[in-house]
Amino acid sequence: MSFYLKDKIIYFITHNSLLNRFFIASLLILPLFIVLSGTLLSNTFKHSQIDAEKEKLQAQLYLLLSVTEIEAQQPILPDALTEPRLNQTHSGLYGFILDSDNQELWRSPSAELLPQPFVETRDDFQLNQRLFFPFSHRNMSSDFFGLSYDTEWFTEENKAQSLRFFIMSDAAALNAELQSYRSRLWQWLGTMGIALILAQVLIMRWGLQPLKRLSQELKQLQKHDIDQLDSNYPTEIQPVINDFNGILVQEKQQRERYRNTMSDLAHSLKTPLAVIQSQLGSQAKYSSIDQQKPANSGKTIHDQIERINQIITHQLQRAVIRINQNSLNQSTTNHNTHKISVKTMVDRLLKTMAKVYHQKNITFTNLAETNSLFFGDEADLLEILGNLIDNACKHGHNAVTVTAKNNNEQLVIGVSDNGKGVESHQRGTILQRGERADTAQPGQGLGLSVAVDIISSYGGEIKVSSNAPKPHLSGACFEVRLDFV
Amino acid sequence: MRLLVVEDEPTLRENLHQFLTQKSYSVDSAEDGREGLYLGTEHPYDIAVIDIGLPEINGIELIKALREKDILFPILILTARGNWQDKVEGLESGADDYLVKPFHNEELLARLNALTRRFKGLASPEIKLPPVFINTASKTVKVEDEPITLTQFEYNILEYLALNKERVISKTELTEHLYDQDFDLDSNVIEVIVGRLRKKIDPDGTLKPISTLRGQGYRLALEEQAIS
Repeated sequence: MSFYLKDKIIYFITHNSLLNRFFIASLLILPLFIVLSGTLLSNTFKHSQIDAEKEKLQAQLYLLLSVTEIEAQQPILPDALTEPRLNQTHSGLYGFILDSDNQELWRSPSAELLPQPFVETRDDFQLNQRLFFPFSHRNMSSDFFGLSYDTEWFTEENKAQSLRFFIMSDAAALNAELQSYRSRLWQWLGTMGIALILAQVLIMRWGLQPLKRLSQELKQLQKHDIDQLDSNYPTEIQPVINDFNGILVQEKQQRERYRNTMSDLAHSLKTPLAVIQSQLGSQAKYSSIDQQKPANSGKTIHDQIERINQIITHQLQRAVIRINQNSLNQSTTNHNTHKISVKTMVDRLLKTMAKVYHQKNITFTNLAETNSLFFGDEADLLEILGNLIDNACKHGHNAVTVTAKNNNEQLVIGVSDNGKGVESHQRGTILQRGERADTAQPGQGLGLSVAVDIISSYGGEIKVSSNAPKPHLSGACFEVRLDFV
Repeated sequence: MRLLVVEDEPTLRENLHQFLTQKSYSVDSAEDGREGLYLGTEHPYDIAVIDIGLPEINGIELIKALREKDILFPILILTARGNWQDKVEGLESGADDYLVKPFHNEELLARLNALTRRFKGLASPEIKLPPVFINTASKTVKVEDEPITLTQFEYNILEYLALNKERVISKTELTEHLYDQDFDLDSNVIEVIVGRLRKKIDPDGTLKPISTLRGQGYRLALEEQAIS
């Protein structure tokens, strides 16, 4: 066997499915058992047949003994014996009487045509010795079973004469029966073996059914179709499922704790910042009346507060994204993590934007298709869309259009405005972290970079263009692509 | 303009109170949602600033409760997290604008002014009632292109009358809208201030900008400039 093939087989055995492992194991072990039990059965049968043959020969021996008389040191037996097979030549049953020197004194009529002398035994005469043995004769094609019995016969003169009775039978019939038994035995065992392997495969498929269901459920869990595993598993698996569900709940709670801690942290850090800023505002006002310096240092502190604020916002946002991302990787669920209709979210945001940008009198158009779906956290989708639409409202003249559709398990979102668009040299930098092309507009400059972070955490991509084809508007057009396979 | 601030952080609440009072708002402040709901229901405010993270009743619940009682004054929410979910939920509950903490006081003021103008149906910060021109952003008044100096109370009364010039405004309403709840005002003070205002706008008594309807109150007797 080549090294490569050996490696392949080892890999197949150790890495393949449980079903294959069981199948290979039973393919190896079952034939071994079948061969062993077949051999055992055939041997047992052979021995019982031989024992039966011995019994038969013994009965013939007694029959022979009962009709034997001695006259002039010669055994005298009737011409027609009670056992017909002893009278007929080549019947397969033969009788002989020998003296203590192995000289043949008598042979049954059935043995008339057998070679002379037929019995060649070198065993010494031993009174009352009874021997049963299989043997073959050099001039005969078939095998024989023989039974010899050494005895003493008293003549009329009351003189003891040693006689060796010898009965033998042809083994051909027995061998033929044994042969047919064996062939039937192996046929049956072979059929049974194949049936057993098939039955085992079926049983294992049935037995492994819950694992198949488990794998399907885990896939559903990954897609967020369900948020817990079913509780209806066999008793051997159920404890594992219960533990797994427990871990899911724990994870979810922990994630929510993280989220709450994050927002608490944001709130508790930002409110003091707001206090400092408002305090500083009033102080700077008073001091700037007659002193220039304190007002300047106030501005420096203002700038630094602004920076601290940006850092907090950015890092907290990233932390929340990372938590969401982990939850996706671990294929567990999150609150609000389901299939989310993009159209509905766009509607909500456009109503909100209409309030915030009331003065700009912007015409909003929602062209998102009804069946366009986002798989993930609602807060993430709101953040992506919110930042892009907010950006469009700021930079657009008076119109913003949002499109969304699902293309081959890909969600494509487009947000365009009718502003000046983005200069080609700015298109690369505008989508980088913390970048702002137009410093004159209000805002923290983080919106787009937050959207970029969330999009990349979902493995998606964003690009910006100008003069995109209709239905996009002529200004900047941001296109987001998210894969949901 | 009477304004309600609902903010649980004492220093920020105090600073907002101080700053907005300086900017001629009459400010009431509440430290939690429950107090905010009580004040918002009891007093006729012109605008409110509400923090989202409040004890007792949170900001969003407070806004919903106010809107359910058909209280329609504009509301600006303050949010600490600044994510769009908070902003959308806040604005869907009935708020009209948002500001992310920390913020510049001037930005807050600009947003508040814009909101009041929007709710009074004004397109620009200037109310043109020739020969009187009131700039609600800079809180200045010109008569025949000549700036006149008004005290804070005088300006507030003039602005309130100008913003509601289609109605007769009672002295009680003026008191309620121009002074916070702690201000125990004798109605004679309003008469005195209106008298001073008339003299400053119309020193020679030809214009008669504010008419008195006995037993009812005051009304601004100036016509808005037609939009050309």
